[in-house]
Amino acid sequence: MRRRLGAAAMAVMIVVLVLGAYVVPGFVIRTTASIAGPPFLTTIDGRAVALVGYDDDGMPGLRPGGLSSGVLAIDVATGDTVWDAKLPDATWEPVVVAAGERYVYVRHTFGVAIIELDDGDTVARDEDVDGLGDEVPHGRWDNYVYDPRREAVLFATDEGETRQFPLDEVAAVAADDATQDTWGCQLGREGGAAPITYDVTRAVTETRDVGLVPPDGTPAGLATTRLHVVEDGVRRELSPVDFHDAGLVQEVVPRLPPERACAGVDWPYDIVEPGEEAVLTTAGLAGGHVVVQSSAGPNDEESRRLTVVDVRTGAITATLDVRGGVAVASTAPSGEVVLVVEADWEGPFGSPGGPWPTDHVVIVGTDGAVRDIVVAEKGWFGL
Amino acid sequence: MRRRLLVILALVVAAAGAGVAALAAGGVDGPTRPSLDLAVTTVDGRDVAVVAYEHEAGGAMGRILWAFSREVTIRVAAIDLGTGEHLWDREISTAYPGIEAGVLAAGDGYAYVTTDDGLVIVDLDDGGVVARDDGIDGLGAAYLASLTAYDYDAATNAVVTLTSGGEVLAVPVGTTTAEPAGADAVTRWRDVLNTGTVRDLYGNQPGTTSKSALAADGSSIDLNTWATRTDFYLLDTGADRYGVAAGSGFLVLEALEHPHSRLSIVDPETYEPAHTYRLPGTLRQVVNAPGDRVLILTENDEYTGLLVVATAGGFTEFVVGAPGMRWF
Repeated sequence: MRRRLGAAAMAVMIVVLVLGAYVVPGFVIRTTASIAGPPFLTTIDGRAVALVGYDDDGMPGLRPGGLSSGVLAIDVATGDTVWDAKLPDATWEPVVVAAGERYVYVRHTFGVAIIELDDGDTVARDEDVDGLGDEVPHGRWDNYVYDPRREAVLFATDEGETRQFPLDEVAAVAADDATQDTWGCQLGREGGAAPITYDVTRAVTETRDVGLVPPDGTPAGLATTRLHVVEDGVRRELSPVDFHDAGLVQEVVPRLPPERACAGVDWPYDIVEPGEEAVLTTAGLAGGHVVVQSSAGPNDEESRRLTVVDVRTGAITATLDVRGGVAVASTAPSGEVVLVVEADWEGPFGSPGGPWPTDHVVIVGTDGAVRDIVVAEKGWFGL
Repeated sequence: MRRRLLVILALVVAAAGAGVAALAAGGVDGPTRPSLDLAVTTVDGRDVAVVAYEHEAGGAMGRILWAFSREVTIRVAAIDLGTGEHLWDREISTAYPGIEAGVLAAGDGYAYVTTDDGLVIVDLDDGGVVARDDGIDGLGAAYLASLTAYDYDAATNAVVTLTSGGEVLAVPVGTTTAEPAGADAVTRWRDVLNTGTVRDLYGNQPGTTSKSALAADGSSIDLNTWATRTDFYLLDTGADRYGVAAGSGFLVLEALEHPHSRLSIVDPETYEPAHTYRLPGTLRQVVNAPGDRVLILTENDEYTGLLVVATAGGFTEFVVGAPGMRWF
């Protein structure tokens, strides 16, 4: 009798352990994704698509293979997933650097992967790729860089030689002298270009027509601002909404090195003035919207809130609470703004969904509406 | 056989119980760090200093607690300036990492404590929190969770604050309700409050000593001209201009000695030291207090804050913080 009771208790314990380890996390905690770099915007079958590389750090649940990384192709107009492809093992922090007609080039911590544009299937990675040299060059921010002038992905081998993938080629070839002179000092692990800060906000647009200004009579101790516009030389308040600790989200595009800038330059390769490494433009402004990132409240410095405002009418077209704010903003040729944000989950029944923040993709449409896309979302049992 | 087992069991239970009781009674005494901003007032006819301090759980119990959670609490105590007795000592925050707190004013029944989370109004009789943060009448949700958004306006004897809407409100000392501040007070404070000139309230007051200072009657004291005792410094209270640490009939001077400096109470005419005191730690804060007292904050070699009271009769040191027994 006592032995049977012990067996029953043991069975219950095993069930609880299995539930706790696999089923509950997979269900409640939906995923934890981190997105390392900016999205790459291209077209697939005529649709504007954002390609986003991500690490899936979520609970593995019942998934075989555990943690993974992948690339997500999102239709920018509809927010639909075109495809969501798993990358091979050990391709951490993937960043899509370029896409041609057939292939997508993905930099990751230890090297590079080439995947199909149509479905994300891996074509070749690291050691399988021809022309990388004796050792696979590591994928730091300044290696495997796209140069649209040459339509090629450039990298430095471990020996310091500049090589390139012409778009839609799966083998790397030596770069010509002009390319070597332009990029030789900007690539690779020795020296190289400075890392770019993408999470930038500014108080005033580059045209200085739209800006965040403290309302008249605001005490010095308050970081309250409102949106103002300048029309015909006259400044007026655009909307009566107070923002706390706010800035306009900027699109940051790294500057390409000038042609032959590296010729004859010695270390430390100061070919770009500090502060001139990137071009900043106010995200969405060309399409008639600005994205204001602010504190959620005067006493809530931890949580960030995004507010999309129409700069013609002053109307707020969308607000979205994000935890850590915008990591990077990119504008699609069709006018949508693609943002990577650090946000929370929403779990089932209004539960918080999990303990860690996760990176989302947010698309601000040309009408100013936002779509919030959870990356690497999992279903029941973590599958 | 069974009886022997029972006896052993009883002994084990008794030992465990005694251990837990000893731990609880031993309390959580540990390092305390008094805030530089303290206030002096009268409670039941006794002069008390109202001091906010940071407390780390110490002792055997504290070490056990630290294993489970980082326990740093912010407490406020009313310390009798004559006896050092803590009239009360109450916890106002258990947030980790610990928040900063400073007592802005005390009097007429209440003490006003500014913290990183907002204003805390404490009952002077028992240390109970009367209202805090967004629970203060007249302030409510417009409060700012900021240490520098609150200050003491001596001219109107009120605690002034900025609201998130940009208004300056005042809580007159002795009340618990915020009301619009007078025009003069608004002019004085609207661009001063919450401007982020953050002080490290658990650090040291800069410039607590100087070679020359102004006394309360406006006369100037300059030790540089006083050739024989140039190793002495005046204790400076850091008041608006120079405030010399003094009572009626005495001055407090510091002599820099290694490793700890020596304080002396001297006659303002002859500079003859009547009492001396070796500072066990750094000279963190000096303020003049009513009743011809000079209050000095320092710490002992166990990093526990000390409140040193200097009067014409000598120095008396009191340990800051009596967190008491650990209740479960």
